[in-house]
Amino acid sequence: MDQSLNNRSQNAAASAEGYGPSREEILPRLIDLLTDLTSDCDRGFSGGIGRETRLVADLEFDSVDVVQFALLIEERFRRRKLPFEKLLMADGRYRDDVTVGEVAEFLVVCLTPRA
Amino acid sequence: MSHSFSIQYAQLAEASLAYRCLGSGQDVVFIHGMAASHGFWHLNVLLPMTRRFRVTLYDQRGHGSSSMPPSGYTTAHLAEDLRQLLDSLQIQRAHLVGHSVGGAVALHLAAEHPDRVASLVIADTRVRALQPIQRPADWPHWPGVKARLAELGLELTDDVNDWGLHLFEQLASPKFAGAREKLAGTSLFIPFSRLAGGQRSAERWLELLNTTTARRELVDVAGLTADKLSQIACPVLAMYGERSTTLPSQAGLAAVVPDCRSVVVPGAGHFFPISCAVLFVREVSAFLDSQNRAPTAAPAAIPVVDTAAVSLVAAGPDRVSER
Repeated sequence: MDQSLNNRSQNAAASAEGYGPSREEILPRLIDLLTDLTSDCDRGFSGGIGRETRLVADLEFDSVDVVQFALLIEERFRRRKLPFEKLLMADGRYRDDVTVGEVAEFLVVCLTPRA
Repeated sequence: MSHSFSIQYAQLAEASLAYRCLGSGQDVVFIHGMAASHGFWHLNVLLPMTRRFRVTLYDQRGHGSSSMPPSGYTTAHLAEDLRQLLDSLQIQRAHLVGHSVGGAVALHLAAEHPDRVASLVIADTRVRALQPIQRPADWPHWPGVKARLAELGLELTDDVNDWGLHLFEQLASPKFAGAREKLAGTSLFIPFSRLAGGQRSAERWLELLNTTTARRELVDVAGLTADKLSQIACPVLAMYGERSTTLPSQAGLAAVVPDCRSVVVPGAGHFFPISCAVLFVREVSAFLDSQNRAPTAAPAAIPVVDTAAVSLVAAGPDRVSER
């Protein structure tokens, strides 16, 4: 079987058993969440939110916005104490931006069971 | 108009302050320092704190999204703003966590209004009455830092007092946009990092220095004397970076504040609450937990403080480069 198909079927099975969302579900759910979160704010960003959208450069997030985003992710995905601290650090430096796709990949690692 | 979720404004007597509240539990108010804004408090500090406390963050007058009155920038004025903000939010008593000048504001409020302050975390605050002179030349790490700043085109003379103010005035200038890029992600850059407001914070800092009395008032002792500090009754955690120029203030606080616990962060500079966020949160949490364990009905006994008893905390791997 194709490896990605294999992964998808495993993730779908895990999701059906209540372990968490599948890789395919995470990105659109994240985009829905960000669309809700930013709909009431006066931000310069007018394009659609996608995998390449940057939280700081495009959506004008500050550090507290990132905290509120993280708390909302935990609420919507019904998980507590996800290790968001790791998301913004790399090689001993703070990263000053992150894409929606990178957040999705972080959640895939956190939320989906290992094969 | 707000660019951020859930940002609100409190109309005080002399200023409109932007603030945000997160989480639930006992009240903890975070107070940023010079040139920064409430965005200074990074995810790695706020997320763990928000899971346990009701965290209030705000922009001091002249900073971030708060208004910029033409005057009223001594720590006495800024502490009065904080008292009015607490009133506005109906917070009777809070734990205060202040970085740099924010710590002086917290000390001021605790000295003037002890009923409003449950405890203080003072992070790398130069207390002017206890450390009146802060020249680069008196700092053992200055030669290395001077060379690093010179590489970036930044210049400070060896004997300038209040050199932090001058350094961030240079860094905020459009002329040094390139230097800011090179420092991105490191400790020194934190006040103007993109997550802390970036270019907007830099522009507000220059506007504040050039159009208000802040340049003169921010460096004023403003009545926060050693005698006044000795009247602070609540528990105080004085946490300082081993490589910071404000370190002499820590010994001063331990000598005059009755209930003062001292912690040094090894190898860290002025911005350790962010550059060593994991360690900072661990120490602050332990300190706040110790308040909750302490008997509440026995305030009379003043603890004997051994000023030499300064604990050095082990630095974990989750820290950002200080270079």
